[in-house]
Amino acid sequence: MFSRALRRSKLPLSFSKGFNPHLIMSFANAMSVGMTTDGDYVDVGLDYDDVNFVNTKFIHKKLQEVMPKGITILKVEALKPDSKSLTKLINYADYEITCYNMHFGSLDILNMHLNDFNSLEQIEITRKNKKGKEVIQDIRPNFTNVSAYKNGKNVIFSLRILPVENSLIKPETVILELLKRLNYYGSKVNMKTHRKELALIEEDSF
Amino acid sequence: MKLNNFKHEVDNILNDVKKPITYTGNEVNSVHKDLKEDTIRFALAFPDIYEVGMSHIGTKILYGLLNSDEDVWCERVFAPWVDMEEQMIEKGIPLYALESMDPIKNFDFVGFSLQYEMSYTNILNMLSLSHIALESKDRQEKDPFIIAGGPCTYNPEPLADFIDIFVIGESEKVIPKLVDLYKEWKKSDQSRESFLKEAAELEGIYVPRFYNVEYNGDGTIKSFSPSIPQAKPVIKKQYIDNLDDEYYPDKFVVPYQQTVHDRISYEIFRGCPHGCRFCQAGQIYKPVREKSLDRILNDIDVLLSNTGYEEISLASLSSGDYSKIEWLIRELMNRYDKYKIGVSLPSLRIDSLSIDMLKEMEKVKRSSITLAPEAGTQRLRDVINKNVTEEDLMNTVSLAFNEGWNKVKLYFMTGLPTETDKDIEGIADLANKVVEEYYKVPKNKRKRGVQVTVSTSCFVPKPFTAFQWVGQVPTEEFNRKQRHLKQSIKNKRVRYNWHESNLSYLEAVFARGDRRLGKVLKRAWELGCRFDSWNEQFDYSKWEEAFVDTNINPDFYASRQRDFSEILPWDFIDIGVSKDYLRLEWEKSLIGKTSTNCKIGCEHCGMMGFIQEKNINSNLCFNKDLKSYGQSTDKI
Repeated sequence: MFSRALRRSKLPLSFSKGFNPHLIMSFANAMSVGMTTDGDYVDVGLDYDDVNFVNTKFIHKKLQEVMPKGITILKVEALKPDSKSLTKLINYADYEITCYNMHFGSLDILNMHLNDFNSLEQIEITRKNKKGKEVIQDIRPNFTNVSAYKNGKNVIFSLRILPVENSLIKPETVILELLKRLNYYGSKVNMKTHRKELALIEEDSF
Repeated sequence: MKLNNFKHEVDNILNDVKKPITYTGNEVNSVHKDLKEDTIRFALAFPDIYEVGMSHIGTKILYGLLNSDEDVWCERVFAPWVDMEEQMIEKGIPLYALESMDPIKNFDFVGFSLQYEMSYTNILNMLSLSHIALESKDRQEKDPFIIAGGPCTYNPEPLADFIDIFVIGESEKVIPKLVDLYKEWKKSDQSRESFLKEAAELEGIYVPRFYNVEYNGDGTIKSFSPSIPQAKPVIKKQYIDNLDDEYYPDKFVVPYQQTVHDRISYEIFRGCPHGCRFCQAGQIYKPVREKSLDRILNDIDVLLSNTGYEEISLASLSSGDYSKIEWLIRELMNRYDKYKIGVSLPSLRIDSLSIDMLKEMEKVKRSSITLAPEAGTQRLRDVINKNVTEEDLMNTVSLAFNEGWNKVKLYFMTGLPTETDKDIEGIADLANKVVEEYYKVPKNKRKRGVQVTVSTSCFVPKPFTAFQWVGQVPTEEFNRKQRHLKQSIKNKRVRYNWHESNLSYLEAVFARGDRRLGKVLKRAWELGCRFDSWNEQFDYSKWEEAFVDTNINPDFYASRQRDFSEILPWDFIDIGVSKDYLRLEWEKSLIGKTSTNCKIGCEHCGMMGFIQEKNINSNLCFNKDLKSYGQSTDKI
C-alpha cells in the first residue's frame, strides 16, 4: 500500500542494492491486521545530492496527494542518512484495546483484579519462537500498568508497551494473559486494538 | 437513487473475518460518485473472492468504461469468503457494493463475469446473499436486471434460468448500448418484460426466456427457436474491430491486500493465431487484433504513474506472438529499469525466442520456467495441433539451463482424444529427457540440482472447438492414467502433480450442458455447494446427490460422443468460425494432420467472411503487420 503510494508520488526514491532491489522504507512498528492508529512513523529513503535541495513541505504535499482516503501525513522531517532506525528509537507505544460484550462484574472488581495483575513482579507466558519451539518469557518488563473502564458491555483497557531489546510485544498478548489469569474464558473474546500514540526518543534532525 | 448503506453493520463484523480489508473498498482509484436522482447503479459482480476478481482484466476495463459515463455509477462486488458469508447471514447484512456499501438488490444492473464453469454456484449464492430472487422468472419489476458476460457465455444455457440477459462476445462493445437502451426505458413507464424484449433486439444480446427448446426422446435437442419476433434465431458474437480506438482504463484500483495478479496487466492484443484443437479461447476470441506500440507505451506510462505498481505484465493469449514483442520489451526495460519496475509475460510458447526475452526481463528474479507441451508424444501433439516438437522443447530447456534456470514446470493434459498409454508414458519420457538435458550443461554453469515438475490436468471438451463432439474420458480412467503416469515416472528429479478428476468431470458437464442443468445447479447450491473451484470447499458427494435429486444423468453431458447432426445447445451462437471448419479440424486430428496458424496461412475457418460482412474494406482477419513477421519466428 505505502510503497505504491510512494511510487505514485514520483519523489526520488532510493532502492536497496542487490539482485532484488526494493524501496528503502521501514515502519517504526508495523501494525497487524485490523488495528487502527492515531499516528505512526515511517522512514523513507530518498536520493538527494545535496541536503539543501530537500524541501520537506514539498515532500509533505506530494505524499498527501497520493495517500488513500483517511490517511493524513502529519509531518515530514529530514533525517541524516546515518540516523538510527526507527525501531531503535521507540520510547513507548500506548494502546486502547476494546473487548466487546464482556461479562465482568462492576468496574471496582475489575480494578481490584487489575491492581493484583499490575503488582506482579513477574508474568511468565509460554509462546512459540520463530523456530516454532515453545519458550517461556517474562513479559512484565514489556508494559507499564494496565487500566480499564467500561462502556456499556464493552471493557476498554489502556496500556503502555515498552521496548525490551528493541522489540515490542503485541498489546493483545498482555490482555489475553490478563484474561487468562482472571479465568475469563467465556466464548471467544472479540477485541479491537487502537494505537493511541507511538512515542520516539528525540533525535537530531537537520 | 440514494440507498441505506450498511457501513456501520459491516464495520462491526470485520474483526471476525480473515481478510477484512477485502470487504471495505476505499482503495486508491476506486470510483465514488455523487448520486443524482436518476444515476444508474451498476454492480460488476465477480463470482469469486476479491483477490481473484481484482486480478481480472475484463472487470477493470468495464469498471472504467461504465464509470466514464457520468450517468452511471459502476461498483464492484465479489463473493464473500465463507467466514464473511456466515457473519453477513447472521447479522442480516445483504450483499453490498464495495464503493457505496449499498445493497445491490436495489441496483439497476448486476453484471456477472463468467470465467469458469465451477464458479456457477457462487452466482446463485451471491444472488441469495443479495436477497435477489434466484430465478429470472421470479424477479419483480423493481429488481435489478441480472446480466452476464465472459468466455462461459459462449454456452450460456446452463445458467438460462438465473440470468436475465447474456452478452455474447466482447462486453465493451455491447454493454454501453444496453445501458443507453435502459436510460430510455427508465424514462418510459414500461414493464420489465418490455425492456427485455427491446434488449433482445440488440446485436450480441441473448435473453434466454424468449427461446423455446424441445427435446427428442433420447434427450438431445429437437429444436431451439425464438418465441417472440424480437429475439434473433442466431446471435452473432460482438467484438471490437480496432483495439487502438477502444477504451482502456488509465487507472486501476490499487488493492490494499495482495491479489493473485498484483501488477498492471496490460492487454497487448486479443485473439490467438495458433489453432490448438482443444482450446476454446483460440476460437472465440478470433480474429487476432494487435494494439499499436504507441498506444501500449502511452497507456502503460499513464497506468504506472496512476497506480504506483512495480510490475507490468503484457497480457494476451500468447504474448510472444505480438509482432514487435522484442522491441516492446526492450523499450519498457529502457524506460523503467531505473525505477525498478519489472516486465513479465504470462503466456509463452515453447521457442528459443521466449527464453531470450525471459533472460532480458527477469534477470535473476525467478528460478523456474513453465512450458506447456500439452501431450507426451509427437503423434498426440499433432492430433491437438499444438505444433511444437520435442526438439523445440529440448532447445528451449537447454537454452534456459545454460542461462541459469534450474527448475522447469511442464503442463500436460490427459484424456485427449485418441490418447493411449504410450502417450502417457511419453510424458514421463519427456520429463526424463528434460532432466538429461540439464546434465549436458557444463558443470561450472549449473546451479545445485535440477527440478522438473510435471502437472497434468484432465481434458475437458469445450464448445466451439474441434473436440466439441467428443465424450470426456470417464473419471476412473483419468485416475488410472494418473496412476500409470505416476508409476512411469522413475526419475527422482521429476515431481508429479495432478488435477482432481471429479472437478473436471463437472466442468465437462456444465461446459457443454443445456438449460435443464439449471435444476442441478440450484439443487447443488441448496445442498451447500459454492466455491467449488476451491479444494477445501469442493464436495463432490453433494453434486452426486444433486444429480440424483433432479433425475439428471451427468454422463449424458460429459461422456457422450455427440453425433455431427445433433443440435448442440450453443449452436444458436455465431462466433464467426464455422461448424464445418471445426468438423474438418476434428477429422484432420484423427489422422494426425496439423493445421497452420493464421500468421502463415489461412485455414478458412470462416472468420474472414464474418469480418467482411461487417466491413467490406477489410480483407484480413488479423493486422497486416503480423503477416510479414510470421515466418521469421515460427518454425513449423
